[in-house]
Amino acid sequence: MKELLKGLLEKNIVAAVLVPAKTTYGKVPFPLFIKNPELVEDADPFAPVMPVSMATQVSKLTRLASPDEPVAVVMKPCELRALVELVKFRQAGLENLLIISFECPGVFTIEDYINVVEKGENPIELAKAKDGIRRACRGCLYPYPYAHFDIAYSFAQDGFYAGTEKGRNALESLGIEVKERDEEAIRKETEERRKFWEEVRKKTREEVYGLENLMSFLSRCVGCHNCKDLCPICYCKECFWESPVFDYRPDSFFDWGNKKGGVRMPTDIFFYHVGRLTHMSLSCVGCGLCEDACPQDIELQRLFLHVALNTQAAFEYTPGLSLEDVPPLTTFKEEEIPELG
Amino acid sequence: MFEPKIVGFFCNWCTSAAADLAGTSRIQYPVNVRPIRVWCSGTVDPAYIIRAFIEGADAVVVGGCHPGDCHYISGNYKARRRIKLLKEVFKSLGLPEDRVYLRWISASEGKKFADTMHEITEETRKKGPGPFAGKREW
Repeated sequence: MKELLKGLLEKNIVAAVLVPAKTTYGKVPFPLFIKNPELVEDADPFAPVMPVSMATQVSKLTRLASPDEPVAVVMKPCELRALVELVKFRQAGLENLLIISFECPGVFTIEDYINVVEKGENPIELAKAKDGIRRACRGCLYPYPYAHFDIAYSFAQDGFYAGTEKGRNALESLGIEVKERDEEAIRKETEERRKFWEEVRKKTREEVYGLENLMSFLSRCVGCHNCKDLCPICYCKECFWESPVFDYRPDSFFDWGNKKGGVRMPTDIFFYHVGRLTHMSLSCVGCGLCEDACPQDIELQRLFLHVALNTQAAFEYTPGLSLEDVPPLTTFKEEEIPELG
Repeated sequence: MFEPKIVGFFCNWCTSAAADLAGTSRIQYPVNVRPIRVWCSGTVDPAYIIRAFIEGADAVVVGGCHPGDCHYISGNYKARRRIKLLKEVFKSLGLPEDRVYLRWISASEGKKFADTMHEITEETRKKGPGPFAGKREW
Protein backbone atom coordinates (compact mmCIF):
# COMPACT_ATOMS: atom_id res chain seq x y z
CA MET A 1 0.00 0.00 0.00
CA LYS A 2 2.81 2.39 0.86
CA GLU A 3 4.42 1.70 -2.53
CA LEU A 4 1.09 2.50 -4.16
CA LEU A 5 0.74 5.79 -2.29
CA LYS A 6 4.32 6.75 -2.97
CA GLY A 7 3.96 5.87 -6.64
CA LEU A 8 0.77 7.90 -6.94
CA LEU A 9 2.56 10.93 -5.55
CA GLU A 10 5.79 10.50 -7.48
CA LYS A 11 4.05 9.93 -10.79
CA ASN A 12 1.83 12.94 -10.10
CA ILE A 13 -1.31 10.86 -10.40
CA VAL A 14 -2.35 12.58 -7.19
CA ALA A 15 -1.00 15.73 -5.59
CA ALA A 16 -1.56 14.61 -2.03
CA VAL A 17 -2.64 11.62 0.01
CA LEU A 18 -4.74 11.44 3.14
CA VAL A 19 -3.94 8.34 5.16
CA PRO A 20 -3.61 7.20 8.77
CA ALA A 21 0.00 7.73 9.80
CA LYS A 22 2.35 7.85 12.73
CA THR A 23 2.03 11.03 14.75
CA THR A 24 4.96 12.86 16.26
CA TYR A 25 3.75 12.58 19.81
CA GLY A 26 1.78 9.38 20.32
CA LYS A 27 1.29 5.73 19.51
CA VAL A 28 -2.08 6.04 17.80
CA PRO A 29 -2.04 6.79 14.07
CA PHE A 30 -4.18 9.71 12.93
CA PRO A 31 -5.08 10.87 9.42
CA LEU A 32 -2.17 12.71 7.85
CA PHE A 33 -2.50 14.94 4.81
CA ILE A 34 0.71 14.25 2.90
CA LYS A 35 2.27 16.32 0.12
CA ASN A 36 5.87 15.18 0.46
CA PRO A 37 6.29 11.59 -0.86
CA GLU A 38 8.96 10.93 1.77
CA LEU A 39 6.35 11.24 4.50
CA VAL A 40 4.55 8.19 3.09
CA GLU A 41 7.10 6.22 5.16
CA ASP A 42 5.13 7.32 8.23
CA ALA A 43 1.85 6.03 6.80
CA ASP A 44 0.14 3.20 8.64
CA PRO A 45 -2.78 2.67 6.26
CA PHE A 46 -4.09 -0.56 7.77
CA ALA A 47 -3.56 0.30 11.44
CA PRO A 48 -6.51 -1.40 13.11
CA VAL A 49 -7.59 1.60 15.14
CA MET A 50 -10.00 4.44 14.36
CA PRO A 51 -9.64 7.43 16.67
CA VAL A 52 -11.73 9.58 14.31
CA SER A 53 -13.65 8.89 11.14
CA MET A 54 -11.80 9.56 7.90
CA ALA A 55 -15.19 10.58 6.48
CA THR A 56 -15.18 13.61 8.77
CA GLN A 57 -11.67 14.54 7.61
CA VAL A 58 -12.66 14.21 3.94
CA SER A 59 -15.57 16.52 4.70
CA LYS A 60 -13.13 19.07 6.08
CA LEU A 61 -11.09 18.76 2.90
CA THR A 62 -13.94 18.94 0.41
CA ARG A 63 -16.97 20.66 1.94
CA LEU A 64 -16.27 24.26 0.97
CA ALA A 65 -14.89 23.39 -2.46
CA SER A 66 -13.45 20.44 -4.35
CA PRO A 67 -9.68 20.23 -4.10
CA ASP A 68 -7.97 21.74 -7.15
CA GLU A 69 -5.69 18.75 -7.50
CA PRO A 70 -6.39 15.05 -7.03
CA VAL A 71 -6.06 13.59 -3.54
CA ALA A 72 -5.84 9.89 -2.71
CA VAL A 73 -7.69 8.95 0.48
CA VAL A 74 -7.32 5.66 2.33
CA MET A 75 -10.56 4.77 4.09
CA LYS A 76 -12.01 1.86 5.99
CA PRO A 77 -15.27 0.56 4.50
CA CYS A 78 -17.42 2.09 7.27
CA GLU A 79 -15.69 5.43 6.79
CA LEU A 80 -16.44 5.23 3.09
CA ARG A 81 -20.10 4.49 3.77
CA ALA A 82 -20.27 7.46 6.13
CA LEU A 83 -18.65 9.60 3.43
CA VAL A 84 -21.30 8.55 0.92
CA GLU A 85 -23.95 9.78 3.36
CA LEU A 86 -22.11 13.07 3.87
CA VAL A 87 -21.94 13.58 0.12
CA LYS A 88 -25.71 13.10 -0.11
CA PHE A 89 -26.15 15.83 2.49
CA ARG A 90 -23.72 18.08 0.62
CA GLN A 91 -21.18 17.98 3.41
CA ALA A 92 -18.43 16.48 1.25
CA GLY A 93 -17.62 15.90 -2.38
CA LEU A 94 -15.99 13.07 -4.27
CA GLU A 95 -14.62 15.22 -7.06
CA ASN A 96 -10.84 14.93 -7.46
CA LEU A 97 -10.64 12.15 -4.90
CA LEU A 98 -9.05 8.80 -5.54
CA ILE A 99 -10.64 6.57 -2.94
CA ILE A 100 -8.63 3.62 -1.75
CA SER A 101 -10.31 1.19 0.61
CA PHE A 102 -9.66 -2.31 1.83
CA GLU A 103 -11.29 -5.43 3.20
CA CYS A 104 -11.18 -4.42 6.84
CA PRO A 105 -10.48 -6.99 9.54
CA GLY A 106 -11.78 -4.58 12.20
CA VAL A 107 -10.17 -2.26 14.70
CA PHE A 108 -9.23 -2.16 18.36
CA THR A 109 -10.36 0.49 20.79
CA ILE A 110 -7.65 3.10 21.27
CA GLU A 111 -6.80 1.67 24.67
CA ASP A 112 -6.56 -1.90 23.40
CA TYR A 113 -4.52 -0.79 20.42
CA ILE A 114 -1.95 0.93 22.63
CA ASN A 115 -1.77 -2.16 24.84
CA VAL A 116 -1.16 -4.41 21.85
CA VAL A 117 1.54 -2.13 20.49
CA GLU A 118 3.23 -1.79 23.87
CA LYS A 119 3.32 -5.56 24.23
CA GLY A 120 5.21 -5.63 20.94
CA GLU A 121 2.53 -7.64 19.18
CA ASN A 122 1.43 -7.10 15.59
CA PRO A 123 -1.97 -5.40 15.72
CA ILE A 124 -2.88 -6.19 12.11
CA GLU A 125 -2.25 -9.92 12.53
CA LEU A 126 -4.32 -9.95 15.74
CA ALA A 127 -7.12 -8.03 14.03
CA LYS A 128 -7.11 -10.50 11.15
CA ALA A 129 -7.55 -13.29 13.69
CA LYS A 130 -10.41 -11.22 15.20
CA ASP A 131 -8.47 -11.32 18.45
CA GLY A 132 -9.63 -8.43 20.62
CA ILE A 133 -11.19 -6.19 17.97
CA ARG A 134 -14.22 -4.09 18.85
CA ARG A 135 -17.62 -5.75 19.16
CA ALA A 136 -18.91 -3.35 16.49
CA CYS A 137 -16.29 -4.70 14.07
CA ARG A 138 -16.95 -8.35 14.92
CA GLY A 139 -20.54 -7.73 13.89
CA CYS A 140 -19.78 -5.42 10.94
CA LEU A 141 -22.45 -5.71 8.25
CA TYR A 142 -20.19 -4.53 5.40
CA PRO A 143 -16.55 -5.36 6.22
CA TYR A 144 -15.58 -4.71 2.61
CA PRO A 145 -15.79 -1.67 0.34
CA TYR A 146 -19.23 -1.82 -1.25
CA ALA A 147 -19.17 0.93 -3.87
CA HIS A 148 -17.73 4.33 -4.70
CA PHE A 149 -14.13 3.20 -4.25
CA ASP A 150 -11.52 3.42 -6.99
CA ILE A 151 -9.04 0.92 -5.60
CA ALA A 152 -9.36 -1.71 -2.90
CA TYR A 153 -6.85 -3.92 -1.13
CA SER A 154 -7.52 -7.47 -0.03
CA PHE A 155 -5.41 -9.10 2.69
CA ALA A 156 -6.61 -12.54 1.62
CA GLN A 157 -5.43 -11.97 -1.94
CA ASP A 158 -2.51 -9.80 -0.89
CA GLY A 159 -3.28 -7.49 -3.76
CA PHE A 160 -5.38 -4.74 -5.24
CA TYR A 161 -8.50 -4.70 -7.33
CA ALA A 162 -10.19 -1.79 -9.04
CA GLY A 163 -13.64 -0.35 -8.44
CA THR A 164 -13.54 2.15 -11.29
CA GLU A 165 -11.72 2.78 -14.55
CA LYS A 166 -9.86 5.59 -12.81
CA GLY A 167 -8.61 3.16 -10.19
CA ARG A 168 -7.65 0.55 -12.78
CA ASN A 169 -5.72 3.12 -14.78
CA ALA A 170 -3.88 4.31 -11.69
CA LEU A 171 -2.86 0.76 -10.76
CA GLU A 172 -1.81 -0.09 -14.30
CA SER A 173 0.23 3.05 -14.77
CA LEU A 174 2.19 2.09 -11.66
CA GLY A 175 2.67 -1.44 -12.94
CA ILE A 176 0.68 -2.93 -10.07
CA GLU A 177 -1.19 -6.12 -10.82
CA VAL A 178 -4.97 -5.64 -10.90
CA LYS A 179 -6.68 -8.64 -9.34
CA GLU A 180 -10.29 -9.75 -9.50
CA ARG A 181 -12.29 -9.30 -6.35
CA ASP A 182 -12.99 -12.59 -4.58
CA GLU A 183 -16.74 -12.25 -4.08
CA GLU A 184 -17.08 -15.69 -2.51
CA ALA A 185 -14.53 -14.94 0.21
CA ILE A 186 -16.23 -11.63 0.92
CA ARG A 187 -19.63 -13.26 1.14
CA LYS A 188 -18.35 -15.85 3.62
CA GLU A 189 -16.61 -13.30 5.82
CA THR A 190 -19.62 -11.00 5.78
CA GLU A 191 -21.99 -13.80 6.63
CA GLU A 192 -19.94 -14.73 9.67
CA ARG A 193 -19.87 -11.16 10.94
CA ARG A 194 -23.59 -10.69 10.34
CA LYS A 195 -24.30 -13.82 12.32
CA PHE A 196 -22.32 -12.37 15.20
CA TRP A 197 -24.31 -9.13 14.95
CA GLU A 198 -27.61 -11.02 14.95
CA GLU A 199 -26.66 -12.54 18.30
CA VAL A 200 -25.71 -9.13 19.66
CA ARG A 201 -28.91 -7.67 18.33
CA LYS A 202 -31.09 -10.33 19.89
CA LYS A 203 -29.64 -9.55 23.29
CA THR A 204 -29.82 -5.80 22.68
CA ARG A 205 -33.46 -5.87 21.63
CA GLU A 206 -34.43 -7.25 25.02
CA GLU A 207 -32.04 -5.06 26.99
CA VAL A 208 -33.38 -1.79 25.62
CA TYR A 209 -37.05 -2.66 25.20
CA GLY A 210 -39.38 -0.52 27.27
CA LEU A 211 -38.72 2.73 29.07
CA GLU A 212 -37.43 1.05 32.24
CA ASN A 213 -34.92 -1.09 30.35
CA LEU A 214 -33.80 1.73 28.11
CA MET A 215 -33.24 4.05 31.06
CA SER A 216 -31.20 1.36 32.82
CA PHE A 217 -29.11 0.90 29.68
CA LEU A 218 -28.45 4.65 29.57
CA SER A 219 -28.31 5.18 33.33
CA ARG A 220 -24.61 6.10 33.41
CA CYS A 221 -24.96 8.77 30.71
CA VAL A 222 -23.50 12.09 31.82
CA GLY A 223 -24.96 14.01 28.89
CA CYS A 224 -21.59 15.01 27.43
CA HIS A 225 -22.78 14.48 23.84
CA ASN A 226 -19.39 13.07 22.82
CA CYS A 227 -21.26 10.36 20.90
CA LYS A 228 -22.63 12.94 18.50
CA ASP A 229 -19.34 14.86 18.32
CA LEU A 230 -17.51 11.80 17.01
CA CYS A 231 -20.42 10.53 14.89
CA PRO A 232 -19.46 10.93 11.23
CA ILE A 233 -23.11 11.43 10.31
CA CYS A 234 -23.78 14.26 12.77
CA TYR A 235 -22.58 17.16 10.65
CA CYS A 236 -24.75 20.00 11.95
CA LYS A 237 -22.73 23.02 13.01
CA GLU A 238 -25.28 23.78 15.68
CA CYS A 239 -26.76 20.71 17.25
CA PHE A 240 -30.50 20.87 17.78
CA TRP A 241 -30.09 19.03 21.08
CA GLU A 242 -27.76 21.69 22.37
CA SER A 243 -29.83 24.64 21.23
CA PRO A 244 -31.30 27.00 23.82
CA VAL A 245 -34.75 26.05 22.50
CA PHE A 246 -34.67 23.17 24.92
CA ASP A 247 -33.31 24.94 27.99
CA TYR A 248 -35.54 24.99 31.03
CA ARG A 249 -36.42 27.95 33.19
CA PRO A 250 -35.92 27.50 36.92
CA ASP A 251 -39.66 27.28 37.58
CA SER A 252 -39.77 24.07 35.55
CA PHE A 253 -37.60 22.41 38.19
CA PHE A 254 -39.85 23.66 40.97
CA ASP A 255 -42.93 22.47 39.08
CA TRP A 256 -41.45 19.01 38.67
CA GLY A 257 -40.36 19.07 42.29
CA ASN A 258 -43.92 19.77 43.33
CA LYS A 259 -45.35 17.12 41.02
CA LYS A 260 -42.76 14.38 41.20
CA GLY A 261 -40.83 15.13 44.37
CA GLY A 262 -37.51 15.57 42.53
CA VAL A 263 -35.67 15.49 39.22
CA ARG A 264 -32.51 13.64 38.16
CA MET A 265 -29.87 16.00 36.83
CA PRO A 266 -28.58 16.45 34.24
CA THR A 267 -31.97 15.99 32.61
CA ASP A 268 -32.72 15.02 29.01
CA ILE A 269 -30.70 11.83 28.68
CA PHE A 270 -33.72 10.10 27.12
CA PHE A 271 -34.61 13.22 25.16
CA TYR A 272 -31.16 13.46 23.61
CA HIS A 273 -30.61 9.82 22.70
CA VAL A 274 -34.10 8.97 21.47
CA GLY A 275 -34.40 12.35 19.77
CA ARG A 276 -31.04 12.01 18.08
CA LEU A 277 -32.11 8.63 16.75
CA THR A 278 -34.84 10.41 14.82
CA HIS A 279 -32.16 12.64 13.30
CA MET A 280 -29.30 10.28 12.45
CA SER A 281 -30.57 6.71 12.54
CA LEU A 282 -31.51 6.61 8.85
CA SER A 283 -27.87 7.28 7.97
CA CYS A 284 -26.21 5.28 10.77
CA VAL A 285 -23.54 2.99 9.33
CA GLY A 286 -22.77 1.31 12.66
CA CYS A 287 -19.12 2.38 12.78
CA GLY A 288 -19.11 2.44 16.58
CA LEU A 289 -17.34 5.75 17.12
CA CYS A 290 -20.23 6.80 19.40
CA GLU A 291 -19.33 3.98 21.72
CA ASP A 292 -15.59 4.68 21.54
CA ALA A 293 -16.33 8.28 22.45
CA CYS A 294 -18.44 7.43 25.48
CA PRO A 295 -16.57 8.20 28.71
CA GLN A 296 -19.04 6.01 30.59
CA ASP A 297 -18.51 2.94 28.40
CA ILE A 298 -22.15 2.66 27.44
CA GLU A 299 -22.42 0.19 24.56
CA LEU A 300 -24.13 2.73 22.34
CA GLN A 301 -23.31 1.19 18.98
CA ARG A 302 -25.55 -1.82 19.50
CA LEU A 303 -28.39 0.38 20.76
CA PHE A 304 -28.13 2.82 17.87
CA LEU A 305 -27.59 0.25 15.13
CA HIS A 306 -30.45 -1.91 16.39
CA VAL A 307 -32.88 1.02 16.15
CA ALA A 308 -31.27 2.29 12.95
CA LEU A 309 -31.77 -1.01 11.12
CA ASN A 310 -35.47 -0.83 12.00
CA THR A 311 -35.93 2.73 10.78
CA GLN A 312 -33.87 2.03 7.67
CA ALA A 313 -35.95 -1.06 6.92
CA ALA A 314 -39.15 0.92 7.36
CA PHE A 315 -38.03 3.23 4.57
CA GLU A 316 -36.30 0.48 2.55
CA TYR A 317 -33.10 2.47 2.78
CA THR A 318 -29.55 1.31 3.40
CA PRO A 319 -27.13 4.16 4.03
CA GLY A 320 -23.69 4.39 2.51
CA LEU A 321 -24.10 1.97 -0.35
CA SER A 322 -25.04 4.18 -3.25
CA LEU A 323 -25.24 7.88 -3.98
CA GLU A 324 -28.34 7.06 -5.98
CA ASP A 325 -30.29 6.09 -2.85
CA VAL A 326 -32.06 9.20 -1.64
CA PRO A 327 -32.15 9.81 2.14
CA PRO A 328 -35.78 9.18 3.16
CA LEU A 329 -36.32 12.48 4.96
CA THR A 330 -35.26 14.52 1.96
CA THR A 331 -38.02 13.20 -0.25
CA PHE A 332 -41.58 11.85 -0.20
CA LYS A 333 -44.23 10.23 -2.32
CA GLU A 334 -47.75 11.51 -2.54
CA GLU A 335 -49.18 8.03 -2.14
CA GLU A 336 -47.50 6.21 0.74
CA ILE A 337 -47.70 5.26 4.41
CA PRO A 338 -51.43 4.44 4.28
CA GLU A 339 -51.42 3.60 8.00
CA LEU A 340 -50.91 7.29 8.77
CA GLY A 341 -53.56 8.51 6.34
CA MET B 1 -60.31 10.53 37.81
CA PHE B 2 -57.48 10.57 35.27
CA GLU B 3 -57.80 13.52 32.90
CA PRO B 4 -55.41 13.07 29.98
CA LYS B 5 -53.25 15.96 28.84
CA ILE B 6 -52.96 16.01 25.08
CA VAL B 7 -50.60 18.32 23.23
CA GLY B 8 -51.68 19.24 19.72
CA PHE B 9 -49.40 20.70 17.07
CA PHE B 10 -51.81 22.13 14.53
CA CYS B 11 -50.85 23.79 11.30
CA ASN B 12 -51.86 27.39 10.83
CA TRP B 13 -53.73 26.93 7.59
CA CYS B 14 -55.89 23.88 8.10
CA THR B 15 -56.14 22.23 11.48
CA SER B 16 -55.82 25.43 13.54
CA ALA B 17 -58.45 27.03 11.33
CA ALA B 18 -60.61 23.95 11.89
CA ALA B 19 -60.20 24.45 15.64
CA ASP B 20 -61.36 28.04 15.21
CA LEU B 21 -64.28 26.91 13.11
CA ALA B 22 -65.28 24.42 15.78
CA GLY B 23 -65.20 27.32 18.25
CA THR B 24 -67.21 29.79 16.19
CA SER B 25 -69.65 27.02 15.32
CA ARG B 26 -70.05 26.35 19.07
CA ILE B 27 -69.00 22.72 18.66
CA GLN B 28 -67.62 21.51 21.98
CA TYR B 29 -64.33 19.66 22.13
CA PRO B 30 -62.49 18.39 25.22
CA VAL B 31 -60.34 20.85 27.17
CA ASN B 32 -57.81 18.03 27.52
CA VAL B 33 -56.32 19.10 24.20
CA ARG B 34 -53.77 21.92 24.45
CA PRO B 35 -53.42 23.30 20.92
CA ILE B 36 -50.14 24.79 19.74
CA ARG B 37 -50.32 26.58 16.44
CA VAL B 38 -47.40 25.93 14.10
CA TRP B 39 -46.99 27.23 10.58
CA CYS B 40 -46.99 23.78 9.03
CA SER B 41 -47.16 20.17 10.21
CA GLY B 42 -43.86 19.81 8.35
CA THR B 43 -42.14 22.04 10.92
CA VAL B 44 -42.80 19.63 13.78
CA ASP B 45 -39.48 17.97 14.49
CA PRO B 46 -39.91 14.72 16.41
CA ALA B 47 -37.94 16.46 19.17
CA TYR B 48 -40.97 18.56 20.08
CA ILE B 49 -43.14 15.47 20.32
CA ILE B 50 -40.64 13.69 22.56
CA ARG B 51 -40.32 16.81 24.67
CA ALA B 52 -44.10 17.03 25.05
CA PHE B 53 -44.14 13.51 26.49
CA ILE B 54 -41.31 14.36 28.85
CA GLU B 55 -43.19 17.44 30.01
CA GLY B 56 -46.16 15.29 30.90
CA ALA B 57 -48.25 14.83 27.76
CA ASP B 58 -50.27 11.60 27.71
CA ALA B 59 -50.68 11.82 23.93
CA VAL B 60 -49.49 14.08 21.15
CA VAL B 61 -51.44 14.86 18.00
CA VAL B 62 -50.03 16.54 14.91
CA GLY B 63 -52.67 18.04 12.66
CA GLY B 64 -52.09 19.19 9.09
CA CYS B 65 -53.78 19.84 5.77
CA HIS B 66 -55.01 16.90 3.74
CA PRO B 67 -52.43 15.40 1.35
CA GLY B 68 -52.30 17.58 -1.74
CA ASP B 69 -53.67 20.61 0.14
CA CYS B 70 -50.60 21.79 2.05
CA HIS B 71 -50.27 25.57 2.07
CA TYR B 72 -46.55 25.01 1.53
CA ILE B 73 -47.21 22.36 -1.12
CA SER B 74 -45.45 19.41 0.50
CA GLY B 75 -44.96 20.06 4.25
CA ASN B 76 -47.55 17.51 5.27
CA TYR B 77 -45.88 14.78 3.22
CA LYS B 78 -42.67 15.49 5.09
CA ALA B 79 -44.55 15.47 8.38
CA ARG B 80 -45.92 12.05 7.51
CA ARG B 81 -42.41 10.66 7.00
CA ARG B 82 -41.18 12.21 10.25
CA ILE B 83 -44.03 10.74 12.24
CA LYS B 84 -43.44 7.34 10.65
CA LEU B 85 -39.77 7.61 11.62
CA LEU B 86 -40.56 8.59 15.20
CA LYS B 87 -43.02 5.72 15.49
CA GLU B 88 -40.38 3.28 14.22
CA VAL B 89 -37.89 4.53 16.83
CA PHE B 90 -40.55 4.21 19.54
CA LYS B 91 -41.54 0.72 18.36
CA SER B 92 -37.92 -0.45 18.40
CA LEU B 93 -37.55 0.71 21.99
CA GLY B 94 -40.91 -0.48 23.26
CA LEU B 95 -42.16 3.08 23.77
CA PRO B 96 -45.84 4.00 23.31
CA GLU B 97 -45.96 4.86 19.62
CA ASP B 98 -49.74 4.53 19.76
CA ARG B 99 -49.85 7.78 21.71
CA VAL B 100 -48.54 9.69 18.70
CA TYR B 101 -51.31 10.73 16.31
CA LEU B 102 -51.22 12.30 12.87
CA ARG B 103 -54.50 13.66 11.51
CA TRP B 104 -55.45 15.58 8.39
CA ILE B 105 -58.15 18.13 9.19
CA SER B 106 -58.96 20.91 6.73
CA ALA B 107 -60.06 24.45 7.57
CA SER B 108 -63.67 23.56 6.77
CA GLU B 109 -63.78 20.50 9.02
CA GLY B 110 -64.72 22.02 12.39
CA LYS B 111 -66.90 19.05 13.19
CA LYS B 112 -64.18 16.59 12.24
CA PHE B 113 -61.74 18.49 14.44
CA ALA B 114 -64.02 18.20 17.46
CA ASP B 115 -64.80 14.52 16.75
CA THR B 116 -61.09 13.71 16.37
CA MET B 117 -60.21 15.40 19.65
CA HIS B 118 -63.01 13.49 21.40
CA GLU B 119 -61.75 10.25 19.92
CA ILE B 120 -58.12 10.84 20.94
CA THR B 121 -59.09 12.02 24.41
CA GLU B 122 -61.23 8.96 25.05
CA GLU B 123 -58.60 6.59 23.71
CA THR B 124 -55.96 8.18 25.90
CA ARG B 125 -58.22 8.13 28.93
CA LYS B 126 -58.50 4.35 28.47
CA LYS B 127 -54.74 3.95 28.05
CA GLY B 128 -53.99 5.83 31.25
CA PRO B 129 -51.10 8.17 32.08
CA GLY B 130 -48.28 8.73 29.59
CA PRO B 131 -44.77 7.28 29.73
CA PHE B 132 -43.20 9.88 32.01
CA ALA B 133 -46.01 10.26 34.54
CA GLY B 134 -44.45 10.21 38.01
CA LYS B 135 -40.94 9.68 36.57
CA ARG B 136 -38.13 11.84 37.86
CA GLU B 137 -35.58 10.80 35.25
CA TRP B 138 -35.62 11.39 31.55
